[in-house]
Amino acid sequence: MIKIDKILNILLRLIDASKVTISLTIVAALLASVIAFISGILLLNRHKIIRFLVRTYVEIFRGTSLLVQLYWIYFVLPFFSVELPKFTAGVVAIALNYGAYSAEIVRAGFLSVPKEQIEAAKALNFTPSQKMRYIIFPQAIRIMLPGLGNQMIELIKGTALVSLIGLEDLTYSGVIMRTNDIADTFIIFILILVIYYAISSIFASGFKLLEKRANVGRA
Amino acid sequence: MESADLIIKTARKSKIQKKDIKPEMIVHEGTLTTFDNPLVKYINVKKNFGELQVLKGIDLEVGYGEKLTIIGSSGSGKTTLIRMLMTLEKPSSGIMEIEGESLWTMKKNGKTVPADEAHLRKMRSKVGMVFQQYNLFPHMTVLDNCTIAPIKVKGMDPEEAKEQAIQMLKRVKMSDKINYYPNQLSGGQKQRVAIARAVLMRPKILLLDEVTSALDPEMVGEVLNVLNEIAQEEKEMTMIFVTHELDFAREISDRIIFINEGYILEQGKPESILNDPKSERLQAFLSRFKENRNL
Ligand SMILES: Nc1ncnc2c1ncn2[C@@H]1O[C@H](COP(=O)(O)OP(=O)(O)O)[C@@H](O)[C@H]1O
Ligand SMILES: [Mg+2]
Repeated sequence: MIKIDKILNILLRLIDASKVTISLTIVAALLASVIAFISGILLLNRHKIIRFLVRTYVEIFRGTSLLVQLYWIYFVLPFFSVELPKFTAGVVAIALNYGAYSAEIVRAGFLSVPKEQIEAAKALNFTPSQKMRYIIFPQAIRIMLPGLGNQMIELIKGTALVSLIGLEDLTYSGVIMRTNDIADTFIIFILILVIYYAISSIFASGFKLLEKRANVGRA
Repeated sequence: MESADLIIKTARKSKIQKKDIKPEMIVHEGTLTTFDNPLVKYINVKKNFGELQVLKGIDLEVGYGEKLTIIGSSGSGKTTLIRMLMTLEKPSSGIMEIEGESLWTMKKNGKTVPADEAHLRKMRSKVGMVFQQYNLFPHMTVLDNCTIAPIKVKGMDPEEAKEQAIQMLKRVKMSDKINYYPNQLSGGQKQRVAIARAVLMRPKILLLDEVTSALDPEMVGEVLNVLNEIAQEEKEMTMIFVTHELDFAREISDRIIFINEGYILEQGKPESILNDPKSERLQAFLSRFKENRNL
């Protein structure tokens, strides 16, 4: 009986901490999406300089580790008088990192729309923004969604790194609770796995629904 | 050595000269080729893709309500000629006009400047196009394919757009499939929807680029029948067909023009062009078709 009480107690505290993980996930994912779409579109810009600048950003953030980027933003930037709270630093680092990965997915998605579709839209005299909204975007997003869904899951798992700058997320709380009673280590980390898995599953099924919607009319 | 050089030089020279001489355009008797008030006008229009000179000097007028067919061998520039009118391709030089107004330039503070997007959109609203590969929007139903542009581009009331679309889809015999998606349709059905979609925008000029060339043979007939009816009924609508269906062209066209090596070589009424070709090139072109038919 005591055991069940204890497990429940641990679970509740972990669920409480997972609120930080979830909000971090949502805010970072939204910002990462904005960054990915802007960068992905700029990677197709006709000006070479713009493409080069965005390409440089993408390569740097894909080519270095998220943890080091997080340390830079949280530990190094204060030396240049940019001091961010832990949560904000976490959001910025994660969004910049996953935004860079996803920019490539966005770019490929837009490129996948056949030029004949764009010509048909032009022949019907759509404005450029109508062309984007009604013709290009719905077809491009269908190609992007599976890749973006994968990035989403990676992002959720990536949020665990913020525990290393002391933000009290799911992982951080688990580590702290463990130091209170080493004997609970096993049960704590089993529960952590389950909670991460549950969060990922919820987001994954959200993406599956979006994919289904985007696939309407396709074989 | 010297003589070899000379031969090469002369050969080069003659090649260039041959390119630059515009052949005399053969106009069959009784053919209307100029209009007091032409709907479309090409004046010495040229188009290159890099080194490749596709159109070398096109002069053409098209009248209101005229049904015009363009014939010519593959690669002769037929598609390029009409794509320029749809603003999908920009001429390298020359003047193009729709209703007397220049397509690619506009007046700004009394000066002639390159057309901006607003000018092109205004001009484009007079033109529509049906493509060889249908180019329906795969993420929309037949009905949405037909109503999206009237609603979004012309600002038509959605109910009104739907009603008109259903009427139009009846005319192309597709009204029983309004909730289907393009990939649930055969090629012939897709093309009939594409025709309906284009006509619903009520363009003054409808361009149709080999609309039956991508179809399986058994579907060509259904599409040509529908087109024939629409061509008969839409008296006001100018239609420019690019097609290899010569019997169809004979039946529906007011005039046929033959494009060869970047120029309009011959033009005239269908009977005359198809039965009594004057140039060797057109004779050869037509006899190739007759041979193919006999195969
Ligand atoms: N976008 C393009 N870039 C380069 N070459 C092109 C392009 N479009 C057409 N061409 C070339 O121009 C020539 C005429 O093409 P087209 O107008 O399609 O001929 P047709 O419709 O009479 O078969 C062909 O040699 C074709 O390869
Ligand atoms: Mg062609």
